[in-house]
Amino acid sequence: MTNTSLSLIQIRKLIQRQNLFDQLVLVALLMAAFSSIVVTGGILWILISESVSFFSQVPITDFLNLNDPKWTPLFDDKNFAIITLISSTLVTTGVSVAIGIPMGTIIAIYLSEFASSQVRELVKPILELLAGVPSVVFGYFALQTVTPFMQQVILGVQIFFAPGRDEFDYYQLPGFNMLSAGIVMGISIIPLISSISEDAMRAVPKQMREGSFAVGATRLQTSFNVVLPAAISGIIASYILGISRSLGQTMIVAVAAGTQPVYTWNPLEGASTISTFIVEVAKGDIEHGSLEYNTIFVAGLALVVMTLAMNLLGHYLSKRVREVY
Amino acid sequence: MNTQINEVRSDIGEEAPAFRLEKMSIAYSGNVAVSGVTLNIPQKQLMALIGPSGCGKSTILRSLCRLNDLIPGVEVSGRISLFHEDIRQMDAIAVHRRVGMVFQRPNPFPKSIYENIALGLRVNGYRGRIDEMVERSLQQVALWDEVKDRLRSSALNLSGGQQQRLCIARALSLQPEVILMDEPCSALDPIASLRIDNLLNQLKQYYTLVVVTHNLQQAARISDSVAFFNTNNDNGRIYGTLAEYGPVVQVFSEPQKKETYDYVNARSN
Repeated sequence: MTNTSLSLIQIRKLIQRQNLFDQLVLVALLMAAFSSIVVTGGILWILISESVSFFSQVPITDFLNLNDPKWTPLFDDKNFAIITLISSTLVTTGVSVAIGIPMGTIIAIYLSEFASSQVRELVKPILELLAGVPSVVFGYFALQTVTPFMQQVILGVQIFFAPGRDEFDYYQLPGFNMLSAGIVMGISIIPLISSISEDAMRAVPKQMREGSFAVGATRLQTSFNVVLPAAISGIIASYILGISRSLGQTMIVAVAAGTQPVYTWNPLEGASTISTFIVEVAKGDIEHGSLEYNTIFVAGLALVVMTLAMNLLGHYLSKRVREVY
Repeated sequence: MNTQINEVRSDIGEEAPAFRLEKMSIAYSGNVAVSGVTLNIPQKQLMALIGPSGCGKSTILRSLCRLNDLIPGVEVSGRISLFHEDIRQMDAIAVHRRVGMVFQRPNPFPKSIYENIALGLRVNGYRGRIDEMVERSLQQVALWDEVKDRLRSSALNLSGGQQQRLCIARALSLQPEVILMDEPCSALDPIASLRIDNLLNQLKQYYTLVVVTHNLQQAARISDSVAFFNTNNDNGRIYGTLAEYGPVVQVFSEPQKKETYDYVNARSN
């Protein structure tokens, strides 16, 4: 035995020391993972406890009222029909999804399957730049640029189909409207959808594409028939993230869609979404612990429930779709 | 006049090669991978391409169906003709339709068993009844009885050997003139690969098959002719050349060149 080798006791000590270190790292990792659960649990606890105090003062039938719904918690004549806020949240999200999902998917397919590496190097940083634009800037873009443009477009469409009337006899798109807010929100989620979808498509093995080319399929046929289905669970995940972000998006809707809690499913009107209401109330001076104060939390809970439902649906869909293929 | 007609007849008869390679060289961004290959690949026979790693067997195979087009920087020089037509003058998709390819690792599409075959038919505008062709192709590879009750379930749930047979069925369904196979059994267990060997022995009666293999026993079992490629070292740059080709018995028992003898005997014993 040379003196450079370790004795059995030394080895045992070394192993013990390493085991202790492993245990410490393990505990640290566990705590890091646990902290996210604690934070989520804490948020949910506050939302639920404040909502319980809300429902002790307001009957749940008023909250879920669908007949002549009004949302006027800050007025003397108080109404709490949450559908007023949910409708506008769904409308703005719907518009943004109608813009963001097709655009994001097409960009992802192009970048992953067609673009040369030079084009990709050029386009990807620009898309990332778009993702970095602050939402308040997007909000003013919607209000100052998209709304006037859409006003012209809607006027033009009416003049095209029913010409010859006085300008003010035509329908005027209001300055605050959910359409512009939704369009810009859709633009703001394009980078999210395109980058996650592109990653999912580029992860599809090359052999799968070659198999498709070998049976005589074109690049386009290969993209839609082979690459897209192979990457579908990642693509759906990107859609869910985009939808969830639209549901919770605040600045764009608060700036461009107006703050009037109107019950409407018409994207051409302005209406307050859940998030707009929360920011509107939170910046006013309301008494801590009052009923008005509680409404913020019950609205927040509604938003969390919607996002959670969205995530569960997405999880279910991506699992189901994966099983079919 | 008469002699001319005779010449034409002998050209289009049974003896005419499916592929004719003339002084074909392939380079990847300037680096030569395969140099000066002149080779006739006979019709309705199975030709095995053998040789050490890096000799360019797979590269040649991929050039025969123009899959190398997808890789930037690949240059093919010389002439590759498929039944007298220069394939580089043809549309790439037309080549893909006439020359099928089976890959080293089974690569079924992430779709149902049925769709794996129907997709190829549909993108080619097949006008017949797709159901019938799916059944016929699966029967040709002896997969029909195993999967007929679950045609709508995912092809990815099949075993590796079944997936590879499905990929062969996918190629067969398009009724190609030639089917190329790049080590079709290297990812399979011995039983599954034996089934593929038996299948290839049947298919070569109807199709021209070109199979790259590292397994000399497999080459001996399935092939009619063998082409041996060797690696050459030119100041550290490795490239492949065709050493010799001929009927399987000749290449294995009476090789013309010493390097063929060394390769065949070192590995098979």
